[in-house]
Amino acid sequence: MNNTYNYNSLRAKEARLGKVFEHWFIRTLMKIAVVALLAAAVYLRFALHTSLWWLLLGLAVLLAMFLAWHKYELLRPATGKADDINNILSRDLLIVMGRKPNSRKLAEIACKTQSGSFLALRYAITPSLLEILAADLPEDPTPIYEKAREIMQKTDAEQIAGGMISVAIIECHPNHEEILKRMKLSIDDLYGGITWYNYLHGLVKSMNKPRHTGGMGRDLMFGYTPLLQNFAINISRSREGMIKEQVHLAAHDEIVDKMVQTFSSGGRQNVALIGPEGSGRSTIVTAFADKILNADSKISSRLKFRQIFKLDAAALIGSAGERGEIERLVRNILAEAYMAKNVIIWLDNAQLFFEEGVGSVDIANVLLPILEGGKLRMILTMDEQRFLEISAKNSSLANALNKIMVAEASQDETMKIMQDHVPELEYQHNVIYTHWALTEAYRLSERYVHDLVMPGRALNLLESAAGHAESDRFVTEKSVQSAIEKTYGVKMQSTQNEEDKSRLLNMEELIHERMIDQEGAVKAVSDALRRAAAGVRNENRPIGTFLFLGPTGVGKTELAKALSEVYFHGEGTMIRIDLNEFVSADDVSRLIADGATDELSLTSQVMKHPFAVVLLDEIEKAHPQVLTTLLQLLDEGILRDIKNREVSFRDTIVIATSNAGADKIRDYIDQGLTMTEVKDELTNELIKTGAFKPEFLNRFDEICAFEPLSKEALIQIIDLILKGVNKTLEPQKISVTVDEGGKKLLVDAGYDPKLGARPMRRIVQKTVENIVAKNVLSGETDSGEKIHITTEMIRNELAN
Amino acid sequence: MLVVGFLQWWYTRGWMGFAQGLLDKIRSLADFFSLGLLLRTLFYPFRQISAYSDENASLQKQISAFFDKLLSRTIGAVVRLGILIFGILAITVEAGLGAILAFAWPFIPLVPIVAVFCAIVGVV
Repeated sequence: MNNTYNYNSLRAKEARLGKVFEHWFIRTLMKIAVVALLAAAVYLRFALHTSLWWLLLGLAVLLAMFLAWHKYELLRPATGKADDINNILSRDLLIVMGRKPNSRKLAEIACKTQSGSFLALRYAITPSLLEILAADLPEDPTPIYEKAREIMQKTDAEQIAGGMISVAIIECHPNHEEILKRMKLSIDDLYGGITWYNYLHGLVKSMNKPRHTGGMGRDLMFGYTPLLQNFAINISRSREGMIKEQVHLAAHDEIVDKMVQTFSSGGRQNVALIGPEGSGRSTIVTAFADKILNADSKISSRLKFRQIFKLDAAALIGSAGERGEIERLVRNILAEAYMAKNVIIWLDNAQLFFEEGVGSVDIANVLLPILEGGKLRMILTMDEQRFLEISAKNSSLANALNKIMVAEASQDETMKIMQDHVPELEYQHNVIYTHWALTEAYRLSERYVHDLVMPGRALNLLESAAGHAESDRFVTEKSVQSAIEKTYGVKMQSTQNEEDKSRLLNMEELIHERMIDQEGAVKAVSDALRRAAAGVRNENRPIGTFLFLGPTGVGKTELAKALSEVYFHGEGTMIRIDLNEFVSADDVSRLIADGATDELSLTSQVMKHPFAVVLLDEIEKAHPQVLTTLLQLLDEGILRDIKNREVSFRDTIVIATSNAGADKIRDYIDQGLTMTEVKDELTNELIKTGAFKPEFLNRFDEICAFEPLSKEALIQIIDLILKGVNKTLEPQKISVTVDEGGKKLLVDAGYDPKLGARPMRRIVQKTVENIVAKNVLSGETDSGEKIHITTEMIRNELAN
Repeated sequence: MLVVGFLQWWYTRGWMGFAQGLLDKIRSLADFFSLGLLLRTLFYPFRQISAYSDENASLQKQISAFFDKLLSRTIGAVVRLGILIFGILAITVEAGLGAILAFAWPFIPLVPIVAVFCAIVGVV
């Protein structure tokens, strides 16, 4: 192995010479010179009859040879055996290498190359970072070359490009793992970056190769399709003008091969691609169109150059009023397609042609004989659920189809597809996508985008993120976060700023601003949420799961409301489900109903508001089947809805409340037990009485027992209620105060150990609010005045 | 060294590359004029325009359909033949010129030397 760079190697000299003549203007001048010299030579030979024309001819040939050499060799010096570093360094590196590059020099020049700047832009492997790292490395760049060669081999590349030098410098640094971790990267990500660059570089190279698509005689052997062209889009024609083919996924290639096999055989000439929305069914059809359009692909001549027409259901319905007319029109279109001999009809969202509805029409009776007869080639795409519905309705239709299932793309496949789409998106939106934007698009779409599957959902989010690029046109992970916030109403990262952090640290105080007492429960919940916010939690579970036990009116719901306000910045983020409405096994389907049929189902509400407090009220009244359904939610933070879509509860706080065993709490307290002991006793009691199964109770992060409120606590609650009354009166600039005696009177009047604080609001309404109303209406109190309510006034009001 | 590099390239990768480029051009021309395809479908009806035939139709209708088809196939064959001839001509010219250049390739670097010699000697 030779790892010594030679400035005077032939490749290095060629690369530098190539650079000198690289500018198009110089090359154009040289081409003009060749033509001019040849013209002058002809003139000298035939007009002036002098032998000097030979010199001009020789010069023209010399220039022409140089131009050929420049174009085919100097601009892309051929690589040699990989055992000599001089044979495998890329041209752009050779140009900037200098005489004796050391590690620092390599760090400086790596980013000046195309692949180096690609990594700098997308992975933040900047020149300054590389220079800092290279400062810790030995002067001798041999280890960097060795590592770069290794990277080249691992990424199946032919040359060592600048990006590989960048990654090699990082990998040679002893602390590279920690450094990358701080950048939220791994060495595999950087290898992925190199592969990504190589793929795009390969695409650019392949664009220069001519595509063979049949030529001018191709369409002569097929018929005219004037009617079809009015009601369908010719996918093959639109693919013909494409500069590139799509990324090839192994799974998709397999399906395309199956399609080729089906259409080449003598059986039923149809393929039904069944897969969820976003799984890439349309991509597969276009890949198939590309394949049969390619004159070089090895497929049967019976299939080659066939054109795929996507039938437009809306156009059909729009142009034909009556049902009979539509059927007649479809028959004519299909007859034309059959006569043309080169048409494959594609029914995208095929259910639109098999069911009656807005924008759809049931023409199964027209299509079924064609599908069964197999004379006209057809492709149908639809999702699994629709296929099952159609199968149930029309089993002969389902039997006539050659089904191919399309599965959701894996993470690796989705990343590849996103990388493939990035250049197009960058061109359309004039932005630059970073690596983190792609990983974040995958992560967030997997969690919060429910209507599509991968890769569709990640691609959708990635495209939306272009509209949220940062000031320097970079689409970063933050851009993706704001895209999901704006597009899906998902609030991201509640602990990002200092205000949020201080809110979490002072959570108990903030909660107590709106609820009284229950110190133990408030502390337990606050501690759990602080742990979650600090990242000390299992990401695959909800943020927190709590079971609140206690009698009515002690603050269980109030604590849930306070949490949604403090943690999620507003009460609007609370989803409340009364489980006393879910008392039979059949109610499970209501709990997980599709949002289109029941917008108040648990799953549909969480789909819309994934960052929320989920309050499951009166859980003891729910049917055991409902509780079993909720087990997965508590355990994995996932619940599948009726359409089998995964709904994430991993950003929710789940609070279940129960009155079960509430009457025992007072007894336990009277026996002198602490609240922790009360909680343990109560839990045992609930298991013993069979109210809850132990495995259900074990799923909660915390079980909190709420103690009955004392009279002192109720006075504080009166203060809170009065605060609310004053807030309501604020626009009229009127304020109310009640003296201490009055408050005690209110507590005495409203106190009911069974109902807790619940009657307090009613009693304040009946007394304080009535007094204020009378004062305002009688004109006794005007704007800007204060109303002081005495004990006597309360007593009088209560007596009325 | 660069001169050696140039000569090395000229007589190895350069020459091979030229030959390969010539073959690619011929293939592209063959694809553009659809030579193979036109030959295979020489007697197909022109744009599939032909009368509908039915085995149960009257003899007169069947004869009429036969002649309609014959006409369509004749038109198709004439059009295809025209393109075929034009395509073959284009490919022949390209291949002929390319072959001459490919054979002359090793001698081209000698042209400047010969030219200088001829200029000095005074060959007109």
